[in-house]
Amino acid sequence: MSVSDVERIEQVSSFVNGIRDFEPPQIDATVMELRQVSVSFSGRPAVRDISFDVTRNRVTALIGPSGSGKTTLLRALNRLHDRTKTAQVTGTITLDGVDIYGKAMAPGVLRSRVGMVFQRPNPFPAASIFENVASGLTFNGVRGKSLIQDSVEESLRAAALWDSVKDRLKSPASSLSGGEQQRLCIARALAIEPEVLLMDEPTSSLDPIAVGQIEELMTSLKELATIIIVTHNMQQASRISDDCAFLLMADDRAGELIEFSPTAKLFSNPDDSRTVDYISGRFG
Amino acid sequence: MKKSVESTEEGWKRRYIQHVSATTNRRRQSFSTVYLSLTILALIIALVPLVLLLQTIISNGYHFLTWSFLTKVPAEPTITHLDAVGGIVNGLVGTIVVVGLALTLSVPIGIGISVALCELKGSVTETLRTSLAVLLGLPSVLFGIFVAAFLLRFHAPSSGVAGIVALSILMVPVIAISGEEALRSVPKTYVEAALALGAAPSKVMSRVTMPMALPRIITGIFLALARASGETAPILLVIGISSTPQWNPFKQTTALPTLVWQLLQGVFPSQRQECWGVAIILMAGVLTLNIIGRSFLAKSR
Repeated sequence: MSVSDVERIEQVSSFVNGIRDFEPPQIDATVMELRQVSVSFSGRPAVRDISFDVTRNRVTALIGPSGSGKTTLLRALNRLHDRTKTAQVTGTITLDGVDIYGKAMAPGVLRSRVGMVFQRPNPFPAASIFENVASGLTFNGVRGKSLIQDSVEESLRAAALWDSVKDRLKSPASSLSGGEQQRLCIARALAIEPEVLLMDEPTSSLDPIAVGQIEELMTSLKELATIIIVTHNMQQASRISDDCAFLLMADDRAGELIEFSPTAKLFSNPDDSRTVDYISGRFG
Repeated sequence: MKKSVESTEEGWKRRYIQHVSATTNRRRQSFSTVYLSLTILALIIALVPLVLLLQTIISNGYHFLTWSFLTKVPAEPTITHLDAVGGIVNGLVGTIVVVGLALTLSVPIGIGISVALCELKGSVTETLRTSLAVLLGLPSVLFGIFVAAFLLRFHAPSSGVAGIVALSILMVPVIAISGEEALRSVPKTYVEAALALGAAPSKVMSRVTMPMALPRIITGIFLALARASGETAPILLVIGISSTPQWNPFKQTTALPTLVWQLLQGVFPSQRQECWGVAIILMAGVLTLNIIGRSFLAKSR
């Protein structure tokens, strides 16, 4: 029996022991539910009264002009506003039926289930490529070398980065190009197998080739996770998303949800005239 | 509906990771409670001596807080007037003159050095930075001894100017190093924006970098000022003594910290009591300077 076999047995036995007090998540078509969600900074609302359902294994796009609160809303979904003292989130957001701002969900657990990819690639610059991808696992206390190694390879493959980095996993992440760094960040987010992946304009700082690769990637990632993406690019939203939420700034500069529909409907036959105007490029 | 990953065999890994993550988070929560209590304990340990110090100084010194204490010269107790308490105007004036002039001397030098440290490359700059760091860490009495040695060498008398020089050597490194940090804290993108408009480096410094760094630079100046006002060691040996308020920096003078020193040596208990009065004035002054300095920092955030 090799070392890795021992590790595997340890993992499995720890898992079997753990599964007794582990409730498998409800399998429901809706993975996240937003009800009257508002986010305000120092009392001034940035988004107001947003309600919609995010369906499992689909791509949901948040679109709207700059300042309509897309990113603010996205960051409420994994409690990233917690660290901003002036921010206040009201309303209810649930993940698999559990209130994510409630006592039953620790922020750390929530964020290990709801991953995030940011606008600018932000790999840990001093850490190696391998360490970057493995970091989510180690942060969450996962040990077991072979499991981590497998996960790193799998995630890098899923992010279409494995072939170009497999021979230099030990080199620093900063040695990669911008597009590669963003794919590394996606791999890093995927390694802990999140149920939901938040993406905040993940392609806005990339060249067209890298954009194409990442869009392809998102379509294939649907099998593994539910994706919520903020994008400024209408074509991108229509290409990759299944559902679409259109936000617009109200007179008091707070973002409001104008329309939430399947992408095909929103782009061909929207309910609201403002959606028509925005999509056809008459403003924004 | 598509079959979800959770219900398939591949789902084991996700469930395993979620299980580990939940366990880790539970452990983390109890660790967090322990850690938070330790932090609060550390806070209390830090606060107790501070509160005791403030309480001692205030309870012993508050009855000195009168107008005449600030405006009269010290009265020498005699056998018949054992409790004679004068004022501290000589120390107050000495401190204002010496510290004020030391400030006017060290601010331009300090800021000049910080600009040089920020802008120039090369071994001279590195040497300068290292020297400043060393100066910053030296015990302040050495500055006094250094200046005192000069005075002896040239047979010069003690004077306010010697104290000004000693305090400037103390303040320049503080201002220069905090100033350099302030200048470096200005995001590079604004500098590049100005350069891309064709601005000369000197314009970038004076119109972009310096204004953005100013609150932090001022904070550094006030911290240097607060430190200098309270320092006894560098000026004790060099400024001499004066029982009357001395506005002329070329004459001997007395500053608040040296006044405390003199009073402590007094033979009468009332003189030693008077130290508390000086202490409370000194403390209030230094505290005010600190608060003003930090308010600039708060404004910049």
